[in-house]
Amino acid sequence: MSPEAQLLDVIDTLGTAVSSGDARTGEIQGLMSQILSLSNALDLAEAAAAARLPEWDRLESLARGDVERLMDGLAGAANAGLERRLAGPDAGESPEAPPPGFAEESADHLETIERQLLALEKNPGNPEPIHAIFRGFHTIKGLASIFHAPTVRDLAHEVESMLDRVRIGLLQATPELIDTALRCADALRSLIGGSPLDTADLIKRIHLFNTQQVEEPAVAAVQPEAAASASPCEAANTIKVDTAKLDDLVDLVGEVVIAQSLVESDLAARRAADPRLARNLGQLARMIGQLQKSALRMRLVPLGPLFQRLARALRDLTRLADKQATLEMSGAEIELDRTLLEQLADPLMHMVRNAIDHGLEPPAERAAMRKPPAGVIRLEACHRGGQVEIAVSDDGRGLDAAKILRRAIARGIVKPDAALSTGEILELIFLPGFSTAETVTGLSGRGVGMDVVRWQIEKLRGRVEIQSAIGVGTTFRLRLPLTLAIIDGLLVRSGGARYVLPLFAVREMFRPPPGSVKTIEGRTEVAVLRDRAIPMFRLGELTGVPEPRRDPYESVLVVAQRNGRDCCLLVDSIEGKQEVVIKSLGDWIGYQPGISGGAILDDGNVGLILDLDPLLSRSTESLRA
Amino acid sequence: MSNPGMIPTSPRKPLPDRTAEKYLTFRCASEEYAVPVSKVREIIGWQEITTIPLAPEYVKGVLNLRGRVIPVVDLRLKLGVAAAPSGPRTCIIIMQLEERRGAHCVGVVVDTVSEVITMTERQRQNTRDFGQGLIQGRFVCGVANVRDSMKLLLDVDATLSRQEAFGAGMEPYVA
Repeated sequence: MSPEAQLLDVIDTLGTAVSSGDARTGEIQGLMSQILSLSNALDLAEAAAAARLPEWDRLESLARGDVERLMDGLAGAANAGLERRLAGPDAGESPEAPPPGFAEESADHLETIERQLLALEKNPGNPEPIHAIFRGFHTIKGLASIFHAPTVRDLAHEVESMLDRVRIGLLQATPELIDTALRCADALRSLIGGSPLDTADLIKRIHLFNTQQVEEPAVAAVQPEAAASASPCEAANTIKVDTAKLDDLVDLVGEVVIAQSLVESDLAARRAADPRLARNLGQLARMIGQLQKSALRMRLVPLGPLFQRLARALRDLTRLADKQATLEMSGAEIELDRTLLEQLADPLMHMVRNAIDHGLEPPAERAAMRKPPAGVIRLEACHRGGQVEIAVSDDGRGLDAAKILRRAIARGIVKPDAALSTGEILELIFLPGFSTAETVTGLSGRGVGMDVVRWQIEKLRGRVEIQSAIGVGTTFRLRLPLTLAIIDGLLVRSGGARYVLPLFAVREMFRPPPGSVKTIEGRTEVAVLRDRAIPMFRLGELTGVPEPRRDPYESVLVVAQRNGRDCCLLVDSIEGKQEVVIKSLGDWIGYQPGISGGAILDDGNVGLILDLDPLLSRSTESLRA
Repeated sequence: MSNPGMIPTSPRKPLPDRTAEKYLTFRCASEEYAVPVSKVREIIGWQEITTIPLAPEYVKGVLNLRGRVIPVVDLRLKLGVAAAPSGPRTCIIIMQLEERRGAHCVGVVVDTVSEVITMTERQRQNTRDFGQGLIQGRFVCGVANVRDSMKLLLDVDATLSRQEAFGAGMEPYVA
């Protein structure tokens, strides 16, 4: 290792020793600041060398001399602290076994590395990403020394020295170099995760770069000051909490809310007569409400890292498919429930894969269409009406409705004489067993189709919509709830049971005026509202709870949106609006289309939370069958 | 409790049989069933059950067990015996199932819970011993004769199979 590298190692070791309080802080901190200024001087010196500046010799000798003098004493001090730290119970472990904590500490850095590498690829002239990447690998190297992971340390060191040459303009950030760096990041991730890996090939590849020279040196030399600025740790104010603990907290708060509503209904009679009690109950309710909101907010995480994973996948997939694409992202800061985000990764990945594989044309075909050779895939997230909308769009060939219809007819999914609107035809791709790919490629066509995507999204109480125009592109729009834990519901009664309808799906409700409910072909019922006929469903029949057919004029109609169209639901009565905590029905029952979960109602019974779209599709499908 | 080195104080009190296991017995229609106590989490009285639309008839629905939503199966309907209205003695046994996908709790509605008894290997008899195809039911895996009364050993996992209730369905694929 070069003196610089050794020095950097010592700095990292010291940093850890200091932050863990194992070394005598004051003493070490003084040395630390000296070392930091030295290492800055070294950076300067290197930059000067690269640019062949006259200060080089003076700076170098100064820096190197000081470094060597300081080395021994410092290493001793730092290692003393380190040894104390490692003398814990797991000191006897094999050096390659990843110690607990290493993976967590490196995860953020690896993520930054990946994000910045992709940024660098987009804009190779920008110095910011390369510094951030360098810092990331450098920190991992430091961590690896501390956690005694020599393979990780050596690989990180090699990448770091390669990047260093990019930093000072001796190497250019070519796609091949970025590719190698990305592979190294992957290798580090699996090494840190505990799976052994042979890094010899990667190191050989890196050495190839290190022997290359750029014809015109120093053109891209960047200011080292930029490297010294910018805090390497943006997440200093966050702590990591086991999600199980968080879920317990949210569950418990949910129980508190229910207990509170029980107490309130018990005290309802006394409340009117006792202003003090009323005030205190009100205060309690408000505070519990706030507690619940903050507990739920803790589960929210930004979409950014998921988008990042998609960006990485997109890069690899376009190479595999011999296509060119740029990714545009917006709304990475939008926050979603953690569980939801985890379960969103698969369907989103599938949609990006589809966009590359089936959406984007090969460059030649695009040229013929007078489109730029590189396609654009857009990931956009935004808040819309209390929900989160994520759109995945491409500017590719679009979905061919005629082709989809032909295929659906050939597969017997629809009758040849079926009269379907374009929108309805596009919806067909969500049916099981439908795939528009004519050839099965390495990317898509693995037997997982859009039906699974829809299933996964609906399981999250979300919706998928398609918009597509031939030659212009396709957009898949996902609408998702902000959280899986709570829902604003409309409590309705039908038959003997009470159900919760999600409030966002409800447009209006009213008692149908006499004569407004008609039948079509003696069977299908419609309600006429403001001179428009809207299909009507009886909730009791949808849920299969047998009950005598009620007079609609003594019931209530709830108008809901379904696939962008209105429909109405006949219920016996409305019991009010209520915010309910969603409980899963458990793995034994699993996901039942049409049911989002259960809510513990104020009487202690379980009320089912209905998901109208799948519930109605299921009933209309069973009518057709 | 049982010290292997200890000499039994009375010849009529034999060493505890290692195969002895505790069973909870309960009545369903005219028959007396038994399940290993290790599979039972708790027993609760009858309470309101919320029906699940389009579920098989024997899946009575779900109930609220201290804030958790627990599915409930009616054993009479599962075994194909005529349904009976719930009475003051009707109980719901909350059983714990170990499945590939993890542990679940499922409630089972029975007519009445009887007692907890200890059965040894010798008292238990596998239904296979009766000869192929003699026992039609798939849910009884053995019988035991204890104090002149025959208990049917219920195969809890087969009876409460999720697969049978809801089919494999379209389970989300695991990439």
